[in-house]
This record gives sequence, structure tokens and C-alpha cells, in this order.
Amino acid sequence: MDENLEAELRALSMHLETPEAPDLTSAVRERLATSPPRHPRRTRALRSRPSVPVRWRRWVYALVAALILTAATPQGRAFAEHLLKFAGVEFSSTPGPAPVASPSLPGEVRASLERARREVGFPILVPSALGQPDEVTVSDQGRVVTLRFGGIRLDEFDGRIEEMFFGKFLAGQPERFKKAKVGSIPAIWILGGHDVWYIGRDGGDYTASARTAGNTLIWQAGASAMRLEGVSTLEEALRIARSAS
Amino acid sequence: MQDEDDDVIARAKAGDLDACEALVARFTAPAHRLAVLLGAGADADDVVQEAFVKALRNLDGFRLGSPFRPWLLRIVANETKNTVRSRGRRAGLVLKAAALTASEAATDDPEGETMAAMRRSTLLAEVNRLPDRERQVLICRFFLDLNEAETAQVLACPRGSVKSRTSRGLARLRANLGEEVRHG
Repeated sequence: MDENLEAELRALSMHLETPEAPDLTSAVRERLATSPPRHPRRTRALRSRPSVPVRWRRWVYALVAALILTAATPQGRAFAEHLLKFAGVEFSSTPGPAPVASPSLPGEVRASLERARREVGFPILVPSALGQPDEVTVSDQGRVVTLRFGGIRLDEFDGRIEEMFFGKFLAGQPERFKKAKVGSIPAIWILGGHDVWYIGRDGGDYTASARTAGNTLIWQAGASAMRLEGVSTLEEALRIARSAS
Repeated sequence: MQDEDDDVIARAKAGDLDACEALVARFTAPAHRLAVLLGAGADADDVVQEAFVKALRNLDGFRLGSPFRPWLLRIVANETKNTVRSRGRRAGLVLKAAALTASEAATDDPEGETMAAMRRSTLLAEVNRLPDRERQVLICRFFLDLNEAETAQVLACPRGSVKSRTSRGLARLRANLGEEVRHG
């Protein structure tokens, strides 16, 4: 099976659209001849990785640009691609699994706040603006905790690790996204309904979790990635977010 | 071939511009293809030019006798990454399928060819959807025909990661393609 797929990929390489290579000989020669190397050991710098905050900021900036780009090109929507990762959330411009009737996260079980605090490996924040949660659930062996306050839902998970937890399907509608700040922390506000689903430990979509979410604010509070859903205005969402401790 | 390269590289190292030019002429095509496939898009020409200038200025860092192509391609891959990063968006639409060529469209079996083209475009869409690190490994292994060691060098990651990302990427592709068949 794998061998077939490998052969198919190799065959596909013949059909890829790649523009013709330019003739760079004289341009490169000219540059080599005119300016001597200013940084003889420059290649070492190529190995350095950006620090996490820089990388994170970059994703925030990338969001709007990527969405405008996708919206501008019809083939941008036609082709499947993932756009962006931010605070444990991966944005996708192609539809994920279809929403199901009773969505749940993997192994989602109810717990008291105290028990949830013992079971998860990151601090659970509760927004004082919302009071005590009506319901607390822990999912995927302590990877995610969800607090419900009436129609408002707050998912918290360890946002430091590289794997992504939630996929969101976002067609190219830049007007639906807004950069925001929770205190000094970058956040993203998504206005209106969009599909959301959980990405499992193996990186695959967890189809039983797929549902349509409403307005959502995403930010990172220390170690935790937070997604607050079901608040009608950005101002109110930010007020709630700032009260989380 | 290797000896011949070494001779040219040795001369380029010594500052011989003709030798530098010969290396550019010889390796532009694979360098350009790599830059395009990794998402350089319209910046591919600039990326490759920049990579050559950097590589040729830093030939001191190249060990004579080792393969030049993956050493150069690593610089191209880095330069591509930096460019994609600096323009502030991810490498979207990395891979596009070419339109049917006239000879393909004129086959005895136009329907079969159309089906094949659809299958290619589905497969390509799934490759585009893969996480970056898996997609890059598959691009190197299957679209650029680099072996595991070369892929590890070009992408600056351990060989074990090339192995695991290849199998994860293939598994994910297979699963996603399978799902599409079921849904269809």
C-alpha cells in the first residue's frame, strides 16, 4: 500500500507546476565580484531558531495576511491548506469533519474543579467575571479541561507543546477576524459561526468532536492556551479573559 | 562526477569567478525547484540568487569531497524558510498541478486521463494539507528524489525524524485519501 502511494507521489512530481529556472549566473557573479563577504561565518546563523515569543508574534501577523491572500484568490479556497497555528489552535481553510449531533472531546468526563486540578498538568484558570462554573469536564487523559458557565464555554489546555489541539475551519473572510489583546498578550477574536474540532494525539482529526462554534476569543495565559466561546462582544470577552486567574 | 565537482569547487573556493559561475549554472535547476516546492512562490528567483551568493561566499564551510548538492540545497531551504517567514504568511498553495498538456489531452483515452488528473489533484490537495514538517519531508523524498540522509541534511533535522515524518505523512495521506473515497 505504502509502496503504491510512494510510486504515485513520485509520478505526481512530473505533473507539478514549477516555473522555469532563471539564468542567475551573471547576477550572482556580479554580486560576488562587487561586495566582499561581510559575514564570513554567516551560514551559522541559518541554524538558529527564532525564540518562541518571536515565532508567536509572527503567527499573529500571519493571520490577517494569510486570510486576505486566501480570500483574494479563488484557487486559494479550492486548494486544501492549513493556514495558521496560534496558541494550540490550528486554522484551516478546508472543511474538517462534519459537525455531529452530540459532540464531545475524547474521553470527556465530568469532574469537580478540585479533581480536575489534580488531574491536569497545567494550572486551571477561572474567570472571576463568570463566577463558578456550572460544569467542569476533563478530556483526553488530562490534556484539556472545559469549564461551562451557562452558554459560555472555556477550553483550557497546555499551549506550550507543539502539537495542535483544535482545528478551526475558516473560509477566507478577513473581516471575521480581529487581533486583540488580553492585557499585553496577543489574542485572536473570531466573529460568528465556524466549525471546530479536536486534533488527537496522533495528529488526526477527532471527528466525534466536530461542531459549530460561535464567537470565540483565543489567547495564551502563561502555560495555558485558552479558547472562550459564546460571548457576544469582543469587549465582554476581553473583560472575562482579563479576570481569569 | 564527484571529482569533477571537487575540482570546480576547489577553484571556486580560491575565488575563481568562472568556477563560481559554473556551479551556479549547474545547480540552479534543482535549487530553484526546491525553493518553489517549499513555497517560495514568486520569490523563488531571488531566494535562489541569495542562496548562491551566501553559499559561494561561505565555501570555507564546505568540506571538499562531501556531496555539494545537499549542502547547497540546505542553504536554499533555509533561505526559502526565511523568505516565507519574512513576508508574514505561511507557504500556502505550495504545490500546484500542471494543467493537462496537449499530448495528454489528445490521448485515445481522454476520460481515463481526466480521471488520472483528478486523482493527482486530490492527492496534491492532501499533500498540501499535511503539517509543514511532514510535507517538506515528502517533497524532498518523492518530488526531489533525495534519499533519507540528503533529506536530513537539507531540512537540517536528524535522520530518524526523516524516517518518522515520512511514515507519519504517508499514513496521514492514506487515511485522508481513504476517507475521501468513503465519503464519495
